[in-house]
Amino acid sequence: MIPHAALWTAALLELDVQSVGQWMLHRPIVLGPLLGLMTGQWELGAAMGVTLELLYADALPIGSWIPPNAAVATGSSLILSSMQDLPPGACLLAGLAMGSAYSLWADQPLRQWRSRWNDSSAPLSRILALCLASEVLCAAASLYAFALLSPVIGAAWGRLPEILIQGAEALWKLAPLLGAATLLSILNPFK
Amino acid sequence: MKLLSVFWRSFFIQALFNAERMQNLGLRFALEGVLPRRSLEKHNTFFNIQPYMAGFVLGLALALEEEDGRDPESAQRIQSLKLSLSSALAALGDSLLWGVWRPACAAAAVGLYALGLPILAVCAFYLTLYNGLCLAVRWKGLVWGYRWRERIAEKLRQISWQGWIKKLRWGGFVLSLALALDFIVEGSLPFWISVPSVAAFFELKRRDFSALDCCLCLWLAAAAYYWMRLIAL
Repeated sequence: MIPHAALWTAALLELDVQSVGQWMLHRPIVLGPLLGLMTGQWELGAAMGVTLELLYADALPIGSWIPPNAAVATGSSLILSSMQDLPPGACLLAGLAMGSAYSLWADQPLRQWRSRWNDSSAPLSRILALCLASEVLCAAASLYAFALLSPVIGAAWGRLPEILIQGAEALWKLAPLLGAATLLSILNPFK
Repeated sequence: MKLLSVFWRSFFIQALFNAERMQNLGLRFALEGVLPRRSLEKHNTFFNIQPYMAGFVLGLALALEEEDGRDPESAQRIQSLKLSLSSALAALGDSLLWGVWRPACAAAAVGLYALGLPILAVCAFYLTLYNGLCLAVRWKGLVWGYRWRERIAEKLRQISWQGWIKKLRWGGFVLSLALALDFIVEGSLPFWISVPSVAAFFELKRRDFSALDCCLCLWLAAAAYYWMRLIAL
């Protein structure tokens, strides 16, 4: 069953990534536990949120670069884990892939699309409302598409060699170390 | 009141971020409540800044527009001041707030989680710590930009930004090191796996591997490890 409330929460808080406020409500360390609570996976939500927070510590929106979308990644991983009986490592990989894919197929085109309003005479508040609504709908549509594909992902996962499935469990155990290394790398005072 | 209006509207400065002129529409929206339409039209040119630092430029633009926004020479002056200030503040904001403050707050929050604090308290701590500084920068920037106008650059030079960045970077690095050590010591993996793993991932990150790339490498490495163990058995 698709967790609609969690999905729409992730889609709304996706606005905090760039468009509204940047209060870090979209960050995995906040969104993970919230979505975990909404999908009945409190502990996994907290663990996934902390892990993704560390892994995305160096995904910074500097200049014109669009980093992977942390809100969509967190939402995808927890939606998948609530709908399919998959190990956390698999959900983490799927979430990371979805976060990267979303920045390519949605964030970049949306940015291009907004250029059309540069010389428009329409009231700015109306343009703003339209752009915000588009962004939320885009995030929601992507998450719904992902949720509808989750049985396919679950079935494909079951067909993988046992070695890869074991590897995903090891990935989940090692992911915090990877996250700590990410922090060390970005905060390295010697570089 | 007008500063408050610009302040709350500045939270939408990136809402209309576009590929062509970046934050031009957001800047216009922020100033829309307090400036006449004819003054806003000249602000439809390229503009890009770290969002928390936008207050400085908004305050400056507002003050100068009020002073003498109708004079064409003054309009040119406002544009050039806006551009020069925004590029300097963008670099500062990226280094300080994105590059150091956000990861350092994450390190502190995850550290508290690793120590056993409830996740709700960790989230509250993270949001309060992070937003405390960022909201202060947003508001103070607006007030100072409005108050000091062209002298804002001179005033900002008096603050030791690089010193603060260095201190915060060191503080965050020490926290991250403590976190890594905690994961190694408290984790369920033997030292001969966890220590080289941190070193390997650090190197991958140094080479700009994304989180997804690193995880894929790790997944394949772990799978290879299990394959070798199976063969050995």
